[in-house]
Amino acid sequence: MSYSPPDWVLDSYVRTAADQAKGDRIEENVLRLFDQFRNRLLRYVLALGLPIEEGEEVVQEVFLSLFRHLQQGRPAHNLGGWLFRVAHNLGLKQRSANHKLRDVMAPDDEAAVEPRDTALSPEEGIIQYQRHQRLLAVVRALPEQDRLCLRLRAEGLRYREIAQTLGISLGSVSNSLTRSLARLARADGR
Amino acid sequence: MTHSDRHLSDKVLVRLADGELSAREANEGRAHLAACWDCRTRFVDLESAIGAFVHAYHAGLDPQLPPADGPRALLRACLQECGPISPGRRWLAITRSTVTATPWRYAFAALLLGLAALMGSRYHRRQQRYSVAALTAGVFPDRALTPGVVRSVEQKDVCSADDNDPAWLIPASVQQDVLREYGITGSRARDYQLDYLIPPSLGGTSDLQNVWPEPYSNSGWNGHVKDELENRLRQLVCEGRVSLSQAQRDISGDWTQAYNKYFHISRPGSAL
Repeated sequence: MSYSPPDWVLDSYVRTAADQAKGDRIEENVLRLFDQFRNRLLRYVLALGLPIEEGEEVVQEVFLSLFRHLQQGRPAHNLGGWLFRVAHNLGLKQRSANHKLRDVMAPDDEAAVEPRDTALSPEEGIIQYQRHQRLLAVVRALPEQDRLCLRLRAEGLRYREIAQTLGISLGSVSNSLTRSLARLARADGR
Repeated sequence: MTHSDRHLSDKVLVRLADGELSAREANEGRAHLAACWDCRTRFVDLESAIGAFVHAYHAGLDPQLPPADGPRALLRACLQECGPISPGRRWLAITRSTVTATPWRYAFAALLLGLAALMGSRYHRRQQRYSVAALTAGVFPDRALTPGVVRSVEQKDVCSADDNDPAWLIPASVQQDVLREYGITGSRARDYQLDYLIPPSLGGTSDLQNVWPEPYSNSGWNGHVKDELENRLRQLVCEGRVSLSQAQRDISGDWTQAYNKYFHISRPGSAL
């Protein structure tokens, strides 16, 4: 005696297969975005003051959140801005959780910026090194919001995306960048 | 060509440099710069400061960034673990179609919902327990059977070797012996891949004591992740940053710890 499953059961299986194909596409998209954004996000969360290991885990969590976001059929436009927003929130949460509230500029400043450019002569390398140190010292003296605006802009975010990431107005982003860049230009002595 | 006596503000210059002005404002700004050397000089200084900051920013952080290959492999493993749709939602899909069928199936739907809740809670508990300990089943070989064997090689031998050397294939006779030693018989063999404990790329041999069956069902710490570690170790050995013997020790011991050490990630499922 044979048994055929009722139509409503078969229908559910067909739907599940379609979900599988959709899931594969989402996975491909997430990995493509990982290739595109991983370094930028990692640099940003490191600049928040997280050690590398925690930074990597935050970035992993960002992309798993993206996977769930897309899986639930939520908006897929401007995912770059979305990724930075989630990375910013998770990075701050992690920083707060582990109570490592040291100077958030520390990674930029503590890193030894060596004159690595082999195209430069030793003298030129030293001049470049000193220039970098001078600029980083200016950045260190900025309020945190100004530093974050500067870094997010350096990672390629537009003003609207920076405003959304930090939860501030467009005007505040513009004022912040103007203030910071004016100081950097003065310090650069040109 | 004339220009207004009023110079452009820093704010307008910054927004012009960033492409954040409207088309009309940008045209006016560029026209002003073409005529006004003062503003153009300030604009150039500003651009120069942006360039210098970006160089300093990258020079400070980029050398710290580990390679992306390992984290990418971990992400892929985690995504595959998550699946295209969570088990709880899949069961919900079935129960939805059940409920929209005929009323007499409500009882069956209730039963399915109960099962879905049970499976969902088990799923979530499993996700929460996604720890190193939970992942190690099948992650490591039986040390008595597979302690690892290396040949007498030096760093230069390893680094000059061809990745596609046919000698690196595991002989069929060794494959059969390994499966037999591990008690894997019949169709169950299809559930496993055979992997070197110490890969030939790090001086490992194809002896029986250096090959073990790794279940395909491994999530998180699977063969793909181990491959990434092997590639990373070989790279470090060839760059002279890790000795060959150290690399062999690390890969033949708790390789998940070695992964943490060389990729700075504690566990593949840590973000779940």
